[in-house]
Amino acid sequence: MAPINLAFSEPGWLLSAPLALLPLLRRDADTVNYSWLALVPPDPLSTALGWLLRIVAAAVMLAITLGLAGLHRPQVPVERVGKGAEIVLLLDRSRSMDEPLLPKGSQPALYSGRRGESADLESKGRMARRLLSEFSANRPDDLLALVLFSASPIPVMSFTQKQDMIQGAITAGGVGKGLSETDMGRGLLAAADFFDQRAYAGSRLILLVSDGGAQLEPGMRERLTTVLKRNRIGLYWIYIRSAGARGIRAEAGDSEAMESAPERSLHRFFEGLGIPYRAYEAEDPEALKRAISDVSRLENLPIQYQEMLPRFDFATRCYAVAAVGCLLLFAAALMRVRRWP
Amino acid sequence: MSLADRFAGLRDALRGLSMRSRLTGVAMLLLLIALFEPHWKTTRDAFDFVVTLDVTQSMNVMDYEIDGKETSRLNYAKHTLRQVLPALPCGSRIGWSIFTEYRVLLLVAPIEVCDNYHELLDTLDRIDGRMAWANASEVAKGVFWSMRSVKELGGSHGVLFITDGHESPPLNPVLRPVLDAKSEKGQGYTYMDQTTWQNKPVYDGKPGDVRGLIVGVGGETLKPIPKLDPEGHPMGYWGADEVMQIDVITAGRTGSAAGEKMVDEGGKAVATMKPTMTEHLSSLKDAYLAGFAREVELGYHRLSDPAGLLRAMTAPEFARPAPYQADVRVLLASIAFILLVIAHVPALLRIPRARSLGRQAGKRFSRT
Repeated sequence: MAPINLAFSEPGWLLSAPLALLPLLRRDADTVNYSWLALVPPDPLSTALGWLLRIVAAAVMLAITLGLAGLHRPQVPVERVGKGAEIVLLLDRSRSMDEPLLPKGSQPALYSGRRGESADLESKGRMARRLLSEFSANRPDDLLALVLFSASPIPVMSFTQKQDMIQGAITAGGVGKGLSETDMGRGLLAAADFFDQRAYAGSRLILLVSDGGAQLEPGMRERLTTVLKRNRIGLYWIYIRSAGARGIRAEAGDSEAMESAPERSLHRFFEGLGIPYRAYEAEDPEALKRAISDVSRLENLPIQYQEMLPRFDFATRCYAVAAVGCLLLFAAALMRVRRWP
Repeated sequence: MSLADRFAGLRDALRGLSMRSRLTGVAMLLLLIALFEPHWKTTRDAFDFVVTLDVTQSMNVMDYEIDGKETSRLNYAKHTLRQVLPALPCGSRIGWSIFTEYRVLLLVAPIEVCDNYHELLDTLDRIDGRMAWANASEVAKGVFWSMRSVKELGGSHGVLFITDGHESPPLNPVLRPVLDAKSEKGQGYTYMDQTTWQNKPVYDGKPGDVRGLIVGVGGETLKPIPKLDPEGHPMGYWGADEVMQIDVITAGRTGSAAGEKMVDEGGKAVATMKPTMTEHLSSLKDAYLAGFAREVELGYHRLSDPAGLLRAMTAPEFARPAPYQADVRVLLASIAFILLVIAHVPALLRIPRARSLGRQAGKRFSRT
């Protein structure tokens, strides 16, 4: 364990610490009149006890000063092992995510509201955010990072377990409409970047949530292959099917044109990468839920993470010490000779 | 011994106590109470903001210095925010958002600053020009968008919009941003009034319904704007022929009729703008931002140092009473301390005659 650090939250109070020396100054306030001092024999025990009490008084005042100055041990990171994974959420922030997720076979026209969401249909983006926020709330040991992508990748937060932050970032995704373009290749690179130069502490995965695919150029394919393999990253793709799209898996009777659709081409690229890869096609809210619960079920290997041991406040302890000291002083005062018999 | 006798004994004992011992006794009682960690439920001021940073390329102009090193407007703004964050009272909430093109994108909804300090810093550190999704900078529309975002969040957060005010493409004076007081729709995403020109920035809320500050960054002299590729690699500076020198109205549209002019609703030609040929250079548009802020009833603050920004952000008008548990221990312990100081300062106590006697005798006499 690291050496114990101590810190003060209100160091200004320490300026009053020298006042704790007051009890040690030689003077007598509690004295008794006596006719002739020379008659009284010297009493070394009393003298020693007197000094002891002065020291106690000084210690009491010092303890109060330390308490007022807010003596504490700052929060320290400690290594913990839990069950979970390091997950980079890679969220599509394109405008198509504002459209409602339609049950298979239905026509968008039947549901078309003014723009985006209609009253009774949740948009794809909102649904994905709701499920992701439940997902992270149920997996406290996971380290989550978040990257949004549109025309450029927008890394929002790096690995954290702070629910406030995770929920704040997920909530933010629901404010304002989506952006116009998507560049999935750079989005994936930015997500993989989070693992670069990072010690391996548990299973690593990128959870890509998007409603479209992409044709990646050879150069980008090469860069992605290198960085995903080097960092041993698994990939989960939750593909939210747009109305009218054919889906990522080939079906009998698909034409050649369908085979080269961006989502198919991306799916084939991912399959050929040689990394752990799973694709989910979410056609309806239930499927999306299933996909996310699968991730929660499968990614439960031990994971090492740092937890912040909360700061420990010593002020009350200081006051306790001071109170005990005062008690001693007071008891001594009660026992003191006040009048000569 | 009866109970009454015992009490009498105690009373006797207390009566005979010296002043110092009595003070020590009171201090002891106060400290004992402090051990129960009493709290006083009260409120204190907290300040909630959605901070929007302009990440357009003009923000990369090197106008500032940090520790003697030249730095960009964006970096200086981030540097300032880094100092402001820990100085905000606990309970305050901060969210991050970025501005490019004509809109803002919320990155993190407002969260409490003390608990989430490191996380908020991490996101702030990540904000840079590479996040920009387009090369345009319609500042007025961006401010309106940030005001709408705040309303959409439903909280009472203020907006804090940090920009150099560089409109690109430039804004025709007749298309100055206006508050559309007639329209009280306040719903959906209609941010442009469709009946007027498409490019006129219009806010569909009521003036003053969102509070906040526009913060101006940048220097007074025009400087070239560094040109960066999407991944942030420098590519020299923007040239005069690479940016729009005139506004979109003056530019007109490509139509079949040559020299086609835009007209207003009355059929009169819209005043065109003379190109300044300085649109590829950038400085802080201080007067523009201040005037615009006045019109939309936001405050204006010109960024000079962290302390100034903190003062502007913690102005009473932005305060929200947040529940706070005041620590009573400090009060109790400080009184106890003062009592002990009094008890041990000889000058403050009545000095009995015996003291001088003791001195005369040349030796000290303890009664313990």
